[in-house]
Amino acid sequence: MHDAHHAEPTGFLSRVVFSRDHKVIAKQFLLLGLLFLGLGGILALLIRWQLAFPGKPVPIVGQYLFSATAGAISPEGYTMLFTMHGTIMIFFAITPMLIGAFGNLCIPLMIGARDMAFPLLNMLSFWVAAASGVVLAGSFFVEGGAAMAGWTAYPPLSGATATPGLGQTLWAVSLFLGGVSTLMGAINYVTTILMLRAPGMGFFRMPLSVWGLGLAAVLNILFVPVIAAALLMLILDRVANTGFFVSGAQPGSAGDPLLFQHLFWIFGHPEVYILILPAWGIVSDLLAVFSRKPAFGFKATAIAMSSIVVLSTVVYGHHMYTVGLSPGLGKAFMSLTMLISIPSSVLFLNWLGTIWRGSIRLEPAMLFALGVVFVFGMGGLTGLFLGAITTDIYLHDTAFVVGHFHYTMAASVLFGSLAAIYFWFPKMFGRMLCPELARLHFWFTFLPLNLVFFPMLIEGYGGMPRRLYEPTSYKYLVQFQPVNQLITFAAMVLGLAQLIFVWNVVRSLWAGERAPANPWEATTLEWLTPSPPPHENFDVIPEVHRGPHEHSRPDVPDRDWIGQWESQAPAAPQTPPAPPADSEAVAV
Amino acid sequence: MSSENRQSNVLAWSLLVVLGGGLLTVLLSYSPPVDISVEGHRIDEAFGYTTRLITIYFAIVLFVMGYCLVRFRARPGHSAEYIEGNQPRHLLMTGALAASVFMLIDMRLIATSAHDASEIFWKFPTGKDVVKIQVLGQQFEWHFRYAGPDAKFNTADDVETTALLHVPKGKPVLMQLRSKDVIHSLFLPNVRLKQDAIPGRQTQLWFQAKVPGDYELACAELCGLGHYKMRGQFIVDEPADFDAWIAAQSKDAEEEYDADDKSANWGWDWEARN
Repeated sequence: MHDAHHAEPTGFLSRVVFSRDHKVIAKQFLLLGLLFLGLGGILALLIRWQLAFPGKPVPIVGQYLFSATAGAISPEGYTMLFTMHGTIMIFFAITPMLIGAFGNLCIPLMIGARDMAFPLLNMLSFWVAAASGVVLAGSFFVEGGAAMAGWTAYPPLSGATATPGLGQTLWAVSLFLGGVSTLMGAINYVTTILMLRAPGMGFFRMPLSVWGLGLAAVLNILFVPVIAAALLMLILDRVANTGFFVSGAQPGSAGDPLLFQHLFWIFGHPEVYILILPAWGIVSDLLAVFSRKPAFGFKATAIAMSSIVVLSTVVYGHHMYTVGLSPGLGKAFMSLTMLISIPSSVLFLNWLGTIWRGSIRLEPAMLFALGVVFVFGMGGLTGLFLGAITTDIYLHDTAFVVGHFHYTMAASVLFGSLAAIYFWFPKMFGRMLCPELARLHFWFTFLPLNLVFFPMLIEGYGGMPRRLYEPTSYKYLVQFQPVNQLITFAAMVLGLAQLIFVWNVVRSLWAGERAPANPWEATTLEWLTPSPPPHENFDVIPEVHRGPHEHSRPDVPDRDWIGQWESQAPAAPQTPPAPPADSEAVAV
Repeated sequence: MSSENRQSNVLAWSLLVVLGGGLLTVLLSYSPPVDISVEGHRIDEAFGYTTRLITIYFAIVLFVMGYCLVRFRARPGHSAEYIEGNQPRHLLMTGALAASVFMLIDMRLIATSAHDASEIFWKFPTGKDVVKIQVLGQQFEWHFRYAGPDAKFNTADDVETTALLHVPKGKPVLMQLRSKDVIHSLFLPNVRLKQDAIPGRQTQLWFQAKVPGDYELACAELCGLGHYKMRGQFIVDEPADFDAWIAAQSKDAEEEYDADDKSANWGWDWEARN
């Protein structure tokens, strides 16, 4: 079983490309996610250009991208841009980064396993994800261009009559493949967490990151098959002329466009939590590490996250208040939705409890973790208006919704991913990132990001429908053009600021300071291993003696942490920073 | 931290607060389109008090966060306190705070919204003075149909308009919506309502306008490349003007009526449930 050593593969292909090592697969997912994040970001900037300066040629890149329209974005181009931006960001940027990369990196290391339960499946999961990314990116180049029905792809608009062309079909095929990949990963995560925990690693000794990733995997296992079924039906409607989702448009068809919405949101609402749960877990852990305190109310946090998992499965109807729901159904979905604010409040209170009376180190990872608390607060609270029937009827499908879900999904998950990168980069690559550049990156991300998404809430309350090619086509929206331009300007700054991050990563990979085993003086098992950890992670599987955040224990002299692997506090005082990688076998 | 460092920090934060405050003031000066309906204020009020309460709540959270970041910053001689937060009193405190937030903010919103949904916005009016309109969404135009003097839909005296909605002031207006092709969503910002029009289904929307004037209506659901063009004029008339308009339009319509033109006669029997 997992305790037996396997020889480390030596060939380039088996070591770097078709590796079954979870740490290599984590890096592959990270690269995939960052590449698509860049692409999705560029699409976002093009969208913003059109909204701020409708019909004006895009500077510099316009002449190459939109040569047929003299550099200006056409309605086709614009619709493609926002459809692909949403799809790419959700399924190919933040999913691979948080779940693919950090799920893979953290789960085995943090629970004290040598690898995933099914390394071959793990490798396949990445390559299927890569294939699905290639299909999606390739769809830009087919005749008629990429998908044009929004990331939600409601039929009949996404059907063959309203949106002919290969692009929309490839979109559905690509997401189906992405679902296959996600499912393979999720089965692996859950099995690994259930079966491969080190001796002594009870569920309530697992770091909250593992809780978040594991709960997200459970939701994926339950709900990815639902969206896969919907996508399959959509593909059949498009290529085999079936009529699952076409009614009215095709007489005699027994299908119903609303069926797709039900299936989409049965998956789609849990999907929001699939993405945010790992971020919550990571934030909970990071706040503890950098406050040098145990995570306040650890069990309550784990239970709150679990109860949100349960609630997330019964609230999806709040996406459909305007389709003509029966009032009783609407009220049931509203009440269930609002219940989520109880466990969410528990999370917030516990985060505040964690930093209360701590000894707070504002490392870059901590800044981003605190950033999550802010942006998730904005996202969660603005969600109230959309969970309530009457306010949602007005705000539904406006820029308010766009602002809201970018705060929750984009900003929170992006900050969660960046916190994770700044925290685990030394472990992953054995090099330290430059903290000054990282702080600069934080402020030039955090401030413009709020200037992008907060004004969208205002525009939405002003009644601006989303997905408008030309917002000035409505007279009552003309007054918002300065706001649109402000957002676009802030988005450009936000985009450019990411170059600081890219430069920091590239510079550090080659010239960064070598990372010690435990640069943050953290307590979870991954910091026991050298940076980067060797093949199969641990020489000897460690025994776990305590919870995941044992900082500042009064009975531990001379230092403010004690590792989960340490049976007792070391006698000799250690001088910070922690010892270099070579001497770190000590503690076992 | 050196005093120079501290000074530049204070400077940066003050700048941030001033700029941020200024920007926020400008942004908050925008307001939604004027509410011209009898019931729309309910949505504005629900939005208003929820905004006020969550602003207070979030301000408290941020204040505590800010306080912690200043007061409990790592520095020589300061160490963290070992608090697990798993004691019954901690759980009680967390639970009580979470529950009180839920009761203060969410419960009130749920109660108001549930009442307004089932007793007002989704309780469709009946009676003689109800103005009935059939709405057909089509890429990329809204069509409206009035029954005309005979009070029957899909007859020769029907008034049909495109991208133009006339309603009288002071009477409940009840609409039945259908779609010819894809999903559309009729959005009337000035009455705070929207309703999807879905192929194969029939949906309803009602409101009562109280301020005559010339407004706009929109399509809120992405319906294709021309989605942004699916704009319409929304006119609220004095009742007498409305009656005169219907009478004139109806006369014209009867002259131009062609029973064989299926696409022009898209109306349906009002009682039909599709």
